[in-house]
Amino acid sequence: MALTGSAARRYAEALLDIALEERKVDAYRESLDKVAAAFSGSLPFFRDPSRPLERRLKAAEAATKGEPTAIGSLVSMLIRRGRIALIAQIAAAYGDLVDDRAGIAKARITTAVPLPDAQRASVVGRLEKTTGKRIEAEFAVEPTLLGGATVQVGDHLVDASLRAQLDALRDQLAST
Amino acid sequence: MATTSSEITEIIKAQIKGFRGKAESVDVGTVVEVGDGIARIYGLAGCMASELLDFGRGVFGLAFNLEEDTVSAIVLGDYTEIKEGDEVRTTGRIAEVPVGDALVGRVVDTLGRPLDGKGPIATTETRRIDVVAPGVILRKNVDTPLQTGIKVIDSITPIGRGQRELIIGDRQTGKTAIAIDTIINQKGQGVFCVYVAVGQKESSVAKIVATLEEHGAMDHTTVVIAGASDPATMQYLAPYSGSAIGEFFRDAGKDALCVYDDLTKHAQAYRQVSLLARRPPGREAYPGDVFYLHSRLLERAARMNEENGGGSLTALPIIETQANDIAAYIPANVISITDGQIYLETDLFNAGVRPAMNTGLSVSRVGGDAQIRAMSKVTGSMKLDLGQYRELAAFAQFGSDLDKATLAQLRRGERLVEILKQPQYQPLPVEKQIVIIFSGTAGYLDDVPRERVADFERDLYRWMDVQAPQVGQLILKERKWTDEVEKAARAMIEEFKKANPYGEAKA
Repeated sequence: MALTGSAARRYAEALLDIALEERKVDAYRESLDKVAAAFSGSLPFFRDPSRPLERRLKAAEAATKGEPTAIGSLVSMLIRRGRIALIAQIAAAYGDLVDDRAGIAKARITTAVPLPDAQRASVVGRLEKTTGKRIEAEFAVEPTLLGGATVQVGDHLVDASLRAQLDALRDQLAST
Repeated sequence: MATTSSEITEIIKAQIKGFRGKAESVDVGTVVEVGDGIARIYGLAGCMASELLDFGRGVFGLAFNLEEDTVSAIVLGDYTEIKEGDEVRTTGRIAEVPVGDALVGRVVDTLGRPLDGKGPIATTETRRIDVVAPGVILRKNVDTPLQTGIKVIDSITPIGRGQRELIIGDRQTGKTAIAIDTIINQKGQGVFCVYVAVGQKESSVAKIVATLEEHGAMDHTTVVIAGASDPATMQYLAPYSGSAIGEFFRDAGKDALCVYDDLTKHAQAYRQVSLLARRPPGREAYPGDVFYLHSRLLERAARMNEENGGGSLTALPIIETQANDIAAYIPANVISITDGQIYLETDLFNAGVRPAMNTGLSVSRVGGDAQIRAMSKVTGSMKLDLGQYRELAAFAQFGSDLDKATLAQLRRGERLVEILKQPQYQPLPVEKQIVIIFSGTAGYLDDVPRERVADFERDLYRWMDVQAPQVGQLILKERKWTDEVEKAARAMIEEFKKANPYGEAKA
């Protein structure tokens, strides 16, 4: 993930530039997600060097028919370079870049018990205020937290769980 | 200390009451791969260089490489505990070691954890392992001697408090012995010592600790060990830890001495870590910043000025050479960083000249400032005599018909070499050093047979203790080589020679 992440981002950045020129950012995203899903299932076929490259390219061309030309060219370029396996990561990276441009941040909110909708909205509202970004929240339940919540936005984690506080208390008691 | 269980309950109750849980705000990442003491972490976008990272389960690491999406961390401790997919948190801190008086007499590892089975270290103070050295404004000139108790060093390459003097030589030339003798001699001199053992066999370190204990030197010494079987990351950090422990005393206005034994292994450990973290190799496969590795360590040795407490940290780094090659990469680097070197040679060692210091190649760039005046006065002519002797000795091997002056020169030189020999673990106080060197340079030894010089020396010291204690006291009081001191010394030596005949030297 990490080692190839930067390569995928390069392709995604290039694609975003083209999309911005053509003013089709969201259309590209939709199309790229669709293509990525379609190709992920048949990666062995497209990476198999025992099949002639021509045949694989033709098959890809047929599969991307109806998609924007840039997406079609991207797919055939990836097949030529033997990097078609990156397609799912490129799609994810492209999505992240688009979100980033639009000021949307992904947040993962984990609580010990499921939150009612009203509280979910209030948490998201608070997060949007502190980060200054639109929050696309993902909620999870983790009973081992015991209480409280952890909120992760990007790489940044705010741990306000009871578990973490108990751990800190234990460390403090053990050190004195 | 008797504490009843109800008191313990009270204490815990008070602590729990006083505990304020805060929401912890950190950066997180995920371990992508781990191996050979290096963990690659995806994420940690806000991680800082050298920041301490928490892998959970009590394992910590240091951020080593900051890359575009990943961070390479060097793991302190057992990396087999870490698994792919583990969460890693930043701590906002830099690696620290406990410091303070409680460390005196202890044997600890790189992170200051006790290894000697004498219980926990009772100190609350910690210091950062890697800090920036004090700047020039905070320092002052090195002007106080650090007596090693070794004649040849204190006379020819004197070491001052706050100086960095390199001990360099092949294996088995007595490098560690010099450092250990120096530590032993600091007893009662108010110098706190740190001995950092990097990449050595645990058995040799145990032997050194036993020696120090035997000579009562552990009372003012801390030993920091990163042994050969410890991870390279620990070996890489150990000298910085030792330096931090010594700096506590420096900044408290006291004097400290730090021995790094040895920096060759330290550089190799750093090379290992760097290559595993995929930093590009340079000369001899060392990374590009080995010079910085050692310069930032040795720069922390300093003599602080009065406004900053007037403390000092002296550094005695040790470098092991291969076949006397002092122009190799690491030796040349460290020679250029330090303020002088003590160069030990196998040939001299085998010829029985011990300490096997090559007096021609060894220097101390601080020089006479780090000697008491009496010593620099007495040794002035000795350096010249020794230099001329070395030159003549090479020629004298070929012919036998030498003129009188040459013969006298040779005879003088032989005796000077003889008095500079010294057995291990027998450091000598400065006044005795001055008297014996004066006997040599003033010609009192010229008529003593060469093989009896050691006896002369031993008996003269005894005479000084029993018959003429006032001479030693006078030297220590005056500190300068005044006419009065010289007269007293001459009188004592003449009287001693009259009482103890050593026979005529054969020409």
